[in-house]
Amino acid sequence: MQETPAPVVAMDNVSFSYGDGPVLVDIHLAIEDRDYLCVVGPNGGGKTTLLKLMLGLLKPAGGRVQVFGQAPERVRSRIGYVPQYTTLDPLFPVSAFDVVLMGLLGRGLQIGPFRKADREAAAAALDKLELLPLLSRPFSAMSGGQRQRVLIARALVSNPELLLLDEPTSHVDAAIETELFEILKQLNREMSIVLVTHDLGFVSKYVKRVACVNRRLAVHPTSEITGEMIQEIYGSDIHMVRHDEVAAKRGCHV
Amino acid sequence: MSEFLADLPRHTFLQHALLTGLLVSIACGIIGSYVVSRRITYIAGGISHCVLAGMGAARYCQTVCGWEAFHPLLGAVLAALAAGLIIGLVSLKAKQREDTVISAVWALGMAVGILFIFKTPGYNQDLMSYLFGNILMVSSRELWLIAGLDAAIVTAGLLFYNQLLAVCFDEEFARLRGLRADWYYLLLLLLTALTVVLLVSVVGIVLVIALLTLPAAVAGEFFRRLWQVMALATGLTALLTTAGLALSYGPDLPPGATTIVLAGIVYLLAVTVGRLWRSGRFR
Repeated sequence: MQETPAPVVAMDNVSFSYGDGPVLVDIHLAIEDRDYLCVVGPNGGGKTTLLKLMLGLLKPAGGRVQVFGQAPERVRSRIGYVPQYTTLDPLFPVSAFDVVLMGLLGRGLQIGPFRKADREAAAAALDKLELLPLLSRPFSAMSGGQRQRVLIARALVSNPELLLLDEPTSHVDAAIETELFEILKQLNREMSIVLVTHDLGFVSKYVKRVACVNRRLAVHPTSEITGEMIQEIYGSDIHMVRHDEVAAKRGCHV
Repeated sequence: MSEFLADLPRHTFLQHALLTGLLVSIACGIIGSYVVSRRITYIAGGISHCVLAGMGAARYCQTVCGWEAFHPLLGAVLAALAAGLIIGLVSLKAKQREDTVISAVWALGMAVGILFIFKTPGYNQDLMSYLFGNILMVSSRELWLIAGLDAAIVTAGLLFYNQLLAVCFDEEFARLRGLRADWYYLLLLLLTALTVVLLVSVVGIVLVIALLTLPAAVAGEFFRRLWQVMALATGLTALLTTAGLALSYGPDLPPGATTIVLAGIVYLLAVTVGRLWRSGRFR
């Protein structure tokens, strides 16, 4: 028998603060291979912080974060990261193909133009997201959903074993959202996925487990999610109104 | 214009000027495109004004202390690199407001330069040529220096094209891919600093920022990939510096200022045409 492999992500008693008051306390989280975890919670609840801890972009104030049994910054080459496209300069002169090729950098010293194998890998990644016809389209001329898919292709081109996505659907409409989740469902057969979203009602039929983050963290299998729980996580009236909207949107789909 | 063409074969200073403009265009087009895309033109402005400190100090050492080897161009290189490094490290490491630091470096550089020049005999003429350029005074020794710097900038800017592109577009992602994003950012600032020094000899400290950014901005109106922007910006800069030189020669106008006015006109035209072209194309 082989030794059981280390979990994809392991967080033990992790805490974090940006200086004024703790953002995360007492976080315990284990993500196994091929897991599909959705992280939800109110704004400022620590969702993105949790993601950045997994990437090693932030260091925990206490506790330990391990990815594939090692410090996150040592295994970054095995992690694919998809930021929100709205964080990027919309006027930057790059094509979809240029953006995807960026996912292949960082493997030793690569000077001069990309090799043929790299260009083929980038084209294949675009093809996986049905963007091959838009290969030479300027990133700035693409729709929000297309840009988000380009960023997913950029993360996939290095064949990650863990895919982390930060609010992939927050600026795209409902039809595109469905399409993105279908793509992620396919990808989940090959890799573990963690995605952050504020839109729990919609994703719960796609993901396997839901982690609710609001300073503390509680993980539930999606089958256990109930209306009361959502209310408990989001708390205030404003969030209840939004939850109703989500429910209404879901109604439209049925 | 015709006077320029008639005198070009006869005067070495005109040939030097023309060659300087053409050489500098390559570095300017490439690095200017990075600077405009990454939106750090303000940093380039800060660096260019700091150059006065280096040129002033070098000129002072030459005339007052008798250090003949300390050429103002060398002083400019040192001051620009130091300014680029300071601004870069502050923006990467410290939590200070970046724009405030750039403004401080900008003004301090000018002040130090003015103090040195004020204490150097015959300062008036030097000051004007540093501030507004003297492309007609480029000696053959300076031309070699310019050519060497130009080659170094262009080589580095093209060899690390993919890395610089990735770091300019999405620094966080580049870092996650294992790129030394901080190093590449500093490299870009140092290349910007050297390019600024080259441009100072063409249009002077005050006008550098226009020649570095306007051609790239014009190219950005029409092209949507960085290497295309670089190619067009290089061509445009070569055209502008040559036209500025040729048009200013007959009526005895300052070539630097003439070049910049031309660049401004081209930019305004390009923005207008670009808007019209796009509104027609996408409707």
